[in-house]
Amino acid sequence: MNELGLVARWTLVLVTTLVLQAGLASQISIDGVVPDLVLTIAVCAGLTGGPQRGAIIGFWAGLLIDLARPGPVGVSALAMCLVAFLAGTVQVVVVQSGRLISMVLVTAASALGVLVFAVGGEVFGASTLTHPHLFSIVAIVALISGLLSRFGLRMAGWAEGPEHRSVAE
Amino acid sequence: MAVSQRRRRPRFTLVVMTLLSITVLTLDAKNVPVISGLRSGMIQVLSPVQHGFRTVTRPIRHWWTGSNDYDRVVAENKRLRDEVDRLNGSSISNANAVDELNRLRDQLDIPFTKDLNPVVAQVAPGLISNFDDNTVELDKGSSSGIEDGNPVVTKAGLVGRVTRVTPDHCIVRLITDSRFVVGVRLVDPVDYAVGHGAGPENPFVVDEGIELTSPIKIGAQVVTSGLTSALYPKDIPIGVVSKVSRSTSDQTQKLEVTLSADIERLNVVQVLRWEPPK
Repeated sequence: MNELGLVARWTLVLVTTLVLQAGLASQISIDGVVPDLVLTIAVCAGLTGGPQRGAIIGFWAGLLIDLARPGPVGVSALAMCLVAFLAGTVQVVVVQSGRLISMVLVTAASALGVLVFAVGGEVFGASTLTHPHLFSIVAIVALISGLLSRFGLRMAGWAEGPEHRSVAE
Repeated sequence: MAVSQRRRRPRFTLVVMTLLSITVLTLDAKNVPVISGLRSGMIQVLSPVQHGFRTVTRPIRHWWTGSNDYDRVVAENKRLRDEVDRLNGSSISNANAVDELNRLRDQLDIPFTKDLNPVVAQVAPGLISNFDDNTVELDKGSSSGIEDGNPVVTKAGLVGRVTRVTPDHCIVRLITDSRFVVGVRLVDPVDYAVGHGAGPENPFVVDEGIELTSPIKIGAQVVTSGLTSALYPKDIPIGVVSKVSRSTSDQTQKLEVTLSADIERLNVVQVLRWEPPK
């Protein structure tokens, strides 16, 4: 697939995810915690397309959600960029493994993503690391991301094109 | 050589993306119009999406809330029944209290939103992401005359302060945010101090300016001080003192204040078009 097609597909995936996050996920609250679909798709981008793609998609995904939420703009972009890059570095493991391993990796990377965001937010003036429900946010977001990993990997695989789809989908 | 370049390229991309993120953070911190313009556009686009989804998913959401928060709903129901019983029992004394309150209000003339050109606004539904429970979005913005820094109140008292404004929306930092600092006045005995938020489920804290010798009582009313260069007009209710502790090392008293406004259930608020004196 050419570069233009890749950009168009990823744009569609990111916009769809953002709309679902703002419209649907924000209505679903489990113990006061909302699922983070954008973080899930950023992690899946890394797992599917590798570290470079992860860093790029993570940045844009984070920037979109940053612009939609009230906190400082750029913290999610930084956190998702770093976590999706890390997820991309274990891409080889995912390609050679099954769904369970990929689910575990998405769960772990999402938990890390929330923690990195919390640290970044605190550094840039938000009360995120000292949030009273930090650990329940980490746990619930990570678990939901893990459960949605298959859909996330499928969407990321579609955006990347058939040659990049992993067996983890 | 080719392998080495392939390995280096992702790291180079990561460095570029990290630097881009830090650049965006810096631009946002400096309130560069491009970022606020983009944010304004994003809110404009997503608000109808949120409202649309909210309308469509209302039955499912109610079912989900009912099943997910069943214990809380039952407890709330019981509390409301008790409240109804109590109110029925004390309706006569309440009527007297209302009369007395009206008389006092007429005498003291302290409706705190008077002459402050309030704009009535509705709180937007739902949070898009986590960690945002110290902020809310309102459905009115600069086109309604709202400006950055305007105080936000309910009839019960101070709620927060506008921190970002777009033409049709604004973001309010709630009084529960630990960065929310306000000069306060204790009504009886009169004393001036500084308080701040302490998180979404914690009481407001006043921990600067109350001397150890000051005879603070539980239940004392706390309002905004309105002193020169204060960020809020004077006499907006904040809450009542619920706990007093003493710090001999700092030679001060620390007060916990139960907020007058119900921050958990905000629906309609008033934005006061008031600017601090320059």
